[in-house]
This record gives sequence, C-alpha cells and structure tokens, in this order.
Amino acid sequence: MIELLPRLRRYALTLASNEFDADDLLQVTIERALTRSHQFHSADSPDRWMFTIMSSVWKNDLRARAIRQGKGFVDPETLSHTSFESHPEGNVLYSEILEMVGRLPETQREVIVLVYVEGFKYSEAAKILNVPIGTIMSRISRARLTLGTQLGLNDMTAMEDRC
Amino acid sequence: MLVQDHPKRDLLIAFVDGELDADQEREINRLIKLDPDAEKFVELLWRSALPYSEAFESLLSLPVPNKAKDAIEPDRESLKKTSNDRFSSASYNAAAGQSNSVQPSSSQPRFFPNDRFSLPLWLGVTAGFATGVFMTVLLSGWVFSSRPSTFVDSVSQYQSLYQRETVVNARVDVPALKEMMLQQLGRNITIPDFSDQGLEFKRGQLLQMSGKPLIQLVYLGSDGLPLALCITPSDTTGGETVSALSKRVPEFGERHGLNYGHWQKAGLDFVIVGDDSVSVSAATRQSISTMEI
Repeated sequence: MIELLPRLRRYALTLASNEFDADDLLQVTIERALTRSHQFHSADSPDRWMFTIMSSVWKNDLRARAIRQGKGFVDPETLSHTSFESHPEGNVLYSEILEMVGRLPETQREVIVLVYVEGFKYSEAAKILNVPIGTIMSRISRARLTLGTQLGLNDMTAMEDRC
Repeated sequence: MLVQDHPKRDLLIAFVDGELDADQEREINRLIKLDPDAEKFVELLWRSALPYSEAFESLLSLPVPNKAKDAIEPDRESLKKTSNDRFSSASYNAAAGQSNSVQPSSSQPRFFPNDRFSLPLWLGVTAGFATGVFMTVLLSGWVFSSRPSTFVDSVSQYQSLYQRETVVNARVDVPALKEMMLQQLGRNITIPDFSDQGLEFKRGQLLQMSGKPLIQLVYLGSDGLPLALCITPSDTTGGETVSALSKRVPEFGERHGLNYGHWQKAGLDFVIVGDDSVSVSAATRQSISTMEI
C-alpha cells in the first residue's frame, strides 16, 4: 500500500497550505490508519478509506490546530491559499490549472481533486468528505463556474464565437 | 447567457460527468431537447473539460518523505535483503487454550497484506470479552526483519509507531497472559506494576522475532505516552551459555526517537522502550529489582 503514498501526499498538498503541513498531514493520516486498521472492512476501497481518514484528520485535527495557534476561525468556504508549484514540464495550461485550482476555496478544491484528479465518483467523494451528494454537485458546479470564468469559458456566446 | 444563470446547472454538470441515475438522465435528456440553453450549456461543458488529471500528474513525482514510508514499512530496506529472518506475530487465545504461536509470516508487505487493507493489525486488537474471563490477543501482521544484535533496534522501531490510541481501549486478562508467557518463555514471570509512576498496564501480546517468541507488555502513562516491556529468549547460537549472557547492569540508550533500557537475565533479553527517559530508567531499574523469573 506504500504505492498509495504519492496520491495521498498530492491530496495533502491540495488541503494544506504548504509542504510542511502536507507532510504533517500525511504522517498523521498514516498513523491514524495504522491505529484504526481493525476498523477497515474488506468491502471498503482502501484508497477511499485512506482519503477519508486524511480528510477527517485535516478537518478535525490539523486545521483546528492551526486555528488554535492563532489563525482564528477560518471558513473553509473562503479558505483558498494552496499554492502549487508551476508544472515542471513548463506546460502553460497545466500550470494555469494548478494555479487556478489552488486558488479555489478549500471545499471546492478538494472536490475537484477527488473527482477529476483522483477519479472518485460523486457518491464516493461524498463519503470521503462526509457530506450529502447534493453538496458535492453544488461544490463542483461552483468550482467549474469559477474555473470556467477564469478561462473565459462560461459565456456561451463567446464560446460560440471561438468555435 | 452565462453558465451560472441556468437553473439546472448542478444537474447538467453531473450529467456531463456521468453521475446521474437513469431517471435523472432521462430527465436531462428531455430537458436538452426542449431547452436550447441547456443544450448549449452541455455542449459548452463538453468542450471546456479541462485536463485536471494530467495537470496534477506532476505532483505524483514529488518525493514522499521517508518518515511516511518508514511508518508503513519500517523494515523495507531489510525486507529486500532477507525474507527468512522476520519479526512477525501470531494470535493467542488464552481462554480457548489456542496458541497460533509464532506463525512465520509470508513475505508480503507488512501493511495491508493478502491484498486486504485491514489485515496488518500490527496494533493487535485485544478483545477482552465482556465477562472478563477471556483475553484474546490478536496479534498483528507485523513483519520486519531482525537480527539478534538488533533486538533493541527492532523493538524500538516497532514501538515508535505506538500512540495513546493504540492501547487506550485495550483490556487484559492477566492470569491468561501469564499462562501464555509460561508457555512461550518456559518461565513464570511477574508482570511489573508501574502504577507508582502513573503507568497503567494495558495489554500483553505475543509477537515473533526471528522465529522466537517475543512478549510485549504495554503500559499507558497518565501523560498519554505508551511504554513497553518486551521479553524474548536470548540468542545462544554463538555458543555462549545462558549464564554468560546475563547482563544485569542495564544498558540505556536511544533508538528511533525513543529511550530504552536493555538487560539480560536467566537466558532472556528484556528491553523497556518509551518516550520519557526518566520513566524508562525508573521502570528498567524497578523491573530488574522486582521481577521474579
């Protein structure tokens, strides 16, 4: 299962604001999974289980800790401070996507990554984040709206002109 | 018209993502035929799909911290070198008189073996039955290699993964545990009481290291930090006699971020491992002076 680590770290980077916090999140997630391995059911998807733990750890522990350390209350709907590095291959579109997703509010950013990057179904993302599926649809919708606006893709007329 | 203006925006996006059930799909298909804006919106969504997966692919190549890997496979380097010399565990059911003792584990990765995510219960699960009569110590799928000289190192590495949650809910049947220790080590050994130091005895486990039984007794401090006393038969393969192996003066040190106290007595190796050096030192000296073997 060690091969799951790169994906988990990527998700940690999605949630946390920097690599230090991401690594911390990854470590705590692993330790939590180890201590709760008896709670895993064979019917579960291993990766979904791990992503669920990471999401929970982030929301309940690490983010809360950051808030306790003086950042005050932070509304995850407005929390948008993840900064991904530019795409190493210098692909402009890829770099732009990373940057735009990084600027999304946390709740939208995590859904975009879970669904479009990690390939989870809406229902799986809902379980991972412990929210109703309608919330997933709403967050994806708002995220795509934001991303589309930034790329100038939301105006149908403009799109028609482009095509 | 702007995307955000469409009243069925959420459903249309889910439709494009293939996330609707059959009824919803039929509804959206009808809508698309009747509503030109919906049709244009769906077309727009198809055209504007972004390569998220490809863009995020680069983040997979970022190096994962070794600490994270070690937490899962602390012996991953050693595993590559040998497949026979392992520290594994077995289950023991004292009440049923069953001891699946020292079952050599396979060469599977320690975490999630047998293609199942849940099996490497390195934590062990102590299922103290409600009657208090039974103590079942389900031992983990812990597998990592060990050489006789690395007894302390292996135990420290294993123990470094323990935290309060690992043992806080554990229950133990002391008589059953002592019987198991007698069976496995061939001696009546008292279980030290460290309650004066604020350490509560939480669990006893039978593990295996290099084909030998290893008893792990875990205590939980009032500060939430676990401390473990591990016992295993000393290695005599080098021709040394049991008496020659005795090392009544403990050796103290630090391994894997934990403090330890190690000594030998009556053909057995003992090590106490914990976070706090003062607690480890006190527990070590108390064990040496009070444990009857």
